[in-house]
Amino acid sequence: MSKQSHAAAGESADQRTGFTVFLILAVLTIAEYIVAVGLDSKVALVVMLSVAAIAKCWAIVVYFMHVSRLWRGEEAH
Amino acid sequence: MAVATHDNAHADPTAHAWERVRINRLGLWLFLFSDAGLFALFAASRFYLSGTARDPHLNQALGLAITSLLLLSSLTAYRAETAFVHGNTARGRAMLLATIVMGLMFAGGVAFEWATAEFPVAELYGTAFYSMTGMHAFHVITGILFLAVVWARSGDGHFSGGPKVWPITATVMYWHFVDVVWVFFYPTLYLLK
Amino acid sequence: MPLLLGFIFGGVGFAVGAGLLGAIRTSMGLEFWSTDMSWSIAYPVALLGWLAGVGGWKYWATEWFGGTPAVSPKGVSRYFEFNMDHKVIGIQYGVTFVALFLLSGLTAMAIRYELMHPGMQLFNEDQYNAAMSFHGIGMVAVAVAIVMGCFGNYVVPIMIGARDMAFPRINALSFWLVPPVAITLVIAVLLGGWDTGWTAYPPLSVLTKSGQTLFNLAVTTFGVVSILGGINFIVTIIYERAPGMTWGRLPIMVWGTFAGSIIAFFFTQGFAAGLLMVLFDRVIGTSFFGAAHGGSALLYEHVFWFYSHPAVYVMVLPAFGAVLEVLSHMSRKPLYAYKWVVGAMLGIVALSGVVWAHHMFTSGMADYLHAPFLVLTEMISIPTGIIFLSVLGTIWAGRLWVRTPMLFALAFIFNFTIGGLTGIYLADMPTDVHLHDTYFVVAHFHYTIMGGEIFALFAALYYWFPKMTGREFNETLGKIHFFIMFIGFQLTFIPMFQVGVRGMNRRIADFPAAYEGANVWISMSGFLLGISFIFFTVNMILSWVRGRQAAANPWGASTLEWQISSPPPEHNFDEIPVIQEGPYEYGVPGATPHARLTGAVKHA
Ligand SMILES: [Cu+2]
Repeated sequence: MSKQSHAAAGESADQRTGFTVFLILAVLTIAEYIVAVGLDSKVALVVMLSVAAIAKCWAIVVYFMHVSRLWRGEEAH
Repeated sequence: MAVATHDNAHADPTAHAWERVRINRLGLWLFLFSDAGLFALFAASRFYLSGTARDPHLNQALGLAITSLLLLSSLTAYRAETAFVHGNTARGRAMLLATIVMGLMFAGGVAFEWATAEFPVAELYGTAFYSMTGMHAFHVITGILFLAVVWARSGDGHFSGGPKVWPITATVMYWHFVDVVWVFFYPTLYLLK
Repeated sequence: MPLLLGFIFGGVGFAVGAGLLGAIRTSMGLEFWSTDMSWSIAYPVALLGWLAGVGGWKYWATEWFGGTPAVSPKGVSRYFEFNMDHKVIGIQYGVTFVALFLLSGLTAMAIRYELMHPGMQLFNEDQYNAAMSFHGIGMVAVAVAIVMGCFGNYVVPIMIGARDMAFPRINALSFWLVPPVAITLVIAVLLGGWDTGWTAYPPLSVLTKSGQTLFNLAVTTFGVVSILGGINFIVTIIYERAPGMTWGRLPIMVWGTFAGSIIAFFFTQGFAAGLLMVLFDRVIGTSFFGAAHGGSALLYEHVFWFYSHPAVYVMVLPAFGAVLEVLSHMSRKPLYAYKWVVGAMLGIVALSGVVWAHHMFTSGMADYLHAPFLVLTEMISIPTGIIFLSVLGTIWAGRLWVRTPMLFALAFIFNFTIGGLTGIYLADMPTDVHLHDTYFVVAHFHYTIMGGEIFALFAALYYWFPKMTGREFNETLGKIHFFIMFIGFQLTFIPMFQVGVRGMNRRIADFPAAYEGANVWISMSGFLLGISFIFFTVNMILSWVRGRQAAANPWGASTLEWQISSPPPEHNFDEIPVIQEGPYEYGVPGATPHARLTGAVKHA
């Protein structure tokens, strides 16, 4: 019983991480779109889009794909 | 016989299963890394051939819509895996299904775009656009097939608990990878000018 | 039987793929059959059918759908179907690629017959292109995969004290993709071949006949084989080492395989990407290389050589490993400068990715690229030189046991030195402009790959033959093979440097009469070289069938594979061995044995 609810609490915390990361990704995507529509400078656009894409990639790789499990293992936590 | 007396660390079946997961995980990461190289070469070719030039006829609304859809499907994929890890099979299955549906909608969006796009495949931008979205869509479809297989197999508690979740994790990682590719392809194809 | 099933399912898959596409095309008001497109769609479906037929379904995929995988049989029949034992797969690779080697060698004989005199003898120009192209890709495939596929698979897991590769099923999958590649290439030749050699340069490859499409499909598949194989070795070597097998105690063959695998897994996509782009240009009408719409053929050369230069290190790094292995054990001396060799191998891996444009000095690429690629290319001679120092240091004052494998290993040193030194003239832009696309390049390449890797391959083959087959080979036939091959090889390729300097172009079916004398000489020597493989083949077959039973350790070598029976038992080790010392401690006072096979301790 108590073990059950402990597991459920663990899950909802993990699920919240998912929402937070998704929110960041969504904001970055919209920012990309707005910048692309509004900005005229080619160079600035390339730089800003690259930064946004790398940030999004990093967030997915770290939080969604759990890259750290490669060296820490999953069972460790 | 020989397997049964496998060395002492493996006498514990759970430890053995976790070791298998570690091995599989590295293999999958290497595979995805390698696959990413293929996409990177296509993106590099796009810049080599036509710089950042983009065709003005692109359907921006559709592009933003399918991009958001794929992003959202990454969230449901994450939720599916997390649910399975915590033994919540019902939610996991629902989320897998949601991911599949959004994947199908994404593929449909790409198909619609192909059918209505006003630039020919023979032009430089068309060359980049159709080949890059095509290769990506191929990965989306294979991803959907994998998702469908694990969804169909997940009913009887097959993937519940510890190392047994691995097939779900692997499929979901593949799906995230497909999203990562799109994270780069979307600005490359739609937003640069 | 599974083979037959593979062919049937493959055929059915082809029909299904082509039929579906045809149905879609008909509904769109197009013709049912369009050669390039129909092949491109039907081919992958046929591949799936083939894989399912040869056992991929029975032993693997069925479990995704709730079935229970079958258990592999013992005995000879397992060599003819999907089997996951790394030793079975090693032998499958070995036999398949030796067969492909002999077949591609036969086309080389035909080419030399054609090139003996000016004018056309045996072929017309198209047939010459088909023969030359098949020889090229056949041998490149052999060179890329035979040492790793055969000896990497068979020996590396045993050397590190593992019971199998990390991914036995992926391993079987990669092997079973090889026969369709070979079959597709042969079919392409029978249907009229293709014109672009093994390099498939556009615009010709986009414009030429449909055999090119089959070539692109087959070789892309082969790229998948290479990538999956590379990943498998990397993970195996990282995770499956026995307790005590630290990175500093790995036999050098393992390091060579590891380094080659990193390249295979990291760069092979370049070839795949280039071939896919050609395919897209051919089938769906993109303009990657079509100048009419602004495409650029130079793009292909960049993408292609981005892989195909590193590819030569996929070929030679495992070969270096095998040769150093043989040299150390048969000189009865520790491997000289082990750590430097490992560093040099990894240095080659790093450098291999930044030198590709040395193939493009005459291509018209931007001038500012010439100097950096010249300098970077020449820097590769530093790690290669270190490996040569190790070779010399290892045999220096050793007690050389000159048996057949040792002869091949020593010949490797000689040939690769010539290959390496002549490479300098090709890396140097000013000389390359003159030598580019001449027989000088042909000679250089054959000295490095045939004189280097293939000689190393035979060193490895004779060295591990007793282990893999459980039989002794015939030493006399082995030595005859060696001497004819070595002499034939020198006589064939040394004159090619000379005609190359005089300006004779490669890949051409005909040549000016001024080169006739040299070409008669080259062809005659080439036939001598070809004859040596008769002795090889006879030796292999006779020894495997009725050779004397081999001892567990006929060479008295210290590495793990020689500490177990010949051939090894099914899971290699009853208990996982414990490694307590480096593998080459010959004559080192106070050294403990490399491995302890019983009484394994619990590993951390
Ligand atoms: Cu090169």
